[in-house]
Amino acid sequence: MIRCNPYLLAMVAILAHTPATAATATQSDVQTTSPEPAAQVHGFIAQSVVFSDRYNFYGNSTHGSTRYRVMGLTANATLSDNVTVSGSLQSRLVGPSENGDVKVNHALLNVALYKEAYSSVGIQLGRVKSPLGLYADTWDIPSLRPGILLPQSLYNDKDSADIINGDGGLVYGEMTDEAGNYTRVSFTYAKPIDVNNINSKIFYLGPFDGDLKYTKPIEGIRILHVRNNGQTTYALWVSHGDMRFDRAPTDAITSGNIAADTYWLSFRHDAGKWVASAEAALNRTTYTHFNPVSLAPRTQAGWYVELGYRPSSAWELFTRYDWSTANLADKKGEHMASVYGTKSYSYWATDTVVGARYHINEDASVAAEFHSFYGTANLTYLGNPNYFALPTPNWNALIVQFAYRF
Amino acid sequence: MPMALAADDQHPVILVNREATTSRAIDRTLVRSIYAGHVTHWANGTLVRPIILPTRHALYFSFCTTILGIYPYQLERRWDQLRYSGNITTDLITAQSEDEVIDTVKKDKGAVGYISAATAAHINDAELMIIEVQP
Repeated sequence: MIRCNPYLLAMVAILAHTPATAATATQSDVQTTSPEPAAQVHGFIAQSVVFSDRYNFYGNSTHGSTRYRVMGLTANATLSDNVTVSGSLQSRLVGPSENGDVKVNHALLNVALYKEAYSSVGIQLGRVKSPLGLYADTWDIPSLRPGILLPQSLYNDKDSADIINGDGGLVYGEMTDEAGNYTRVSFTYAKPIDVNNINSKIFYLGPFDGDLKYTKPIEGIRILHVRNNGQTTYALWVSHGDMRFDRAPTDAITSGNIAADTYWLSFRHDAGKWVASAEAALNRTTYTHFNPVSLAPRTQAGWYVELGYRPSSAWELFTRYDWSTANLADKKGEHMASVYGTKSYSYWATDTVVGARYHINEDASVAAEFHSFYGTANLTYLGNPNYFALPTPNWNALIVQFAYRF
Repeated sequence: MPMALAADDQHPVILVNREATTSRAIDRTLVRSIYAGHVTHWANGTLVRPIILPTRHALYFSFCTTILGIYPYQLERRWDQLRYSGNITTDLITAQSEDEVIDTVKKDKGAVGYISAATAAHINDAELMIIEVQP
């Protein structure tokens, strides 16, 4: 079902005025004085089949699940030397968490306020993507992922979209020095579009029926620095967000406020055939007004290291180790388990991954990856109703994917 | 002709509209920054419009590896990142042939592309500037 909202209507208007091959078709029409409006449309589809041996991961995967399919359509149009518009529609079918509805992923107006050959300042307005880490602003695009799944400690499919896509604006400044090193600093002020879902409520509070919403936009700063002809990338993201939880009559918790502070460090070295990446993030959550019960602040943490190798243009191989905990002060979840009678390993997870992708041609690829999990924090409550009482921390998953882009 | 180009030389050279280059010399660093999507405007404020040949074209691979110093899939990934994030100010134009590169650069003062030195040897047009970029 398509949700009718202003962004969707704007996207449709953009696409309706965009010839699919405008970029190449208009080349003979471009003017000497200034470029004609030029637009490009790109899209993708990625269908995965997920198998797991003990618990459900992306649907009923213990019997083989096809409920992991992402489709998207992106249009970019250059209106003048200073103004571009960009929008994307996306359908995500992700286990029991997302049902394939078409949503506006981003829809923004990008205006260059100041521009010079080696530096510029600009603003984006509309539905923007918060650029967390290496992948957040393209985290849902299969061809831009090193594997089928991104590291679940930082880019968890069950709740990442909730904070990445937001309505508001982004101001950025970028500069390239004489050696070609590139620095981009951006400030995001955007209200996340959808935090009121069971996965996010479990992340911050628990499986409650009440409403969780942001009371004001997230404020986030990102510094990106790219060196050595794009070989080495450093990134830092710091943000603050304020939420409100309004309890439902069925909830065994009062209403209250939640503040979330995120600190995220990223590194990648891309030497062509070899790519090494590492990222780490802390999410500090504090709770107020949850009377009469006082909720202690906690710091969710995660990090991963990854090594990729491309022996030829057709093949990509990678391996990754990924770690996360729901609370740094209770890394093994033992305190939470003793207080709530839950399994300690439902509060943390490690994931050791090996994977490969074969490019059939420049647009189509098939991929497979094997995950060996220890800990169950990457699973969803919706897929596993006995989430806090699963019998063992050991489980495995095999994912196979076909992806096509145009 | 700005330089001596051999009619049988297939290595890529850069082609720009002379109007875009009046205030800035073009070197390999600038070309790399343009094709990384980092430099999006010429010094006179004109939007930079980088041109590529189709991936199947022989010059595409040699341009990526000898001029840009990266593999073609790295170039494609960089531009996909810009397109899908919305952080795109200008986009690659795909020309189907070297003649189309020449035609586009002549008509669009912000365009920059590459052709073979052999093709460049036959160009004699005051509007166009041919630049040899050392690998």
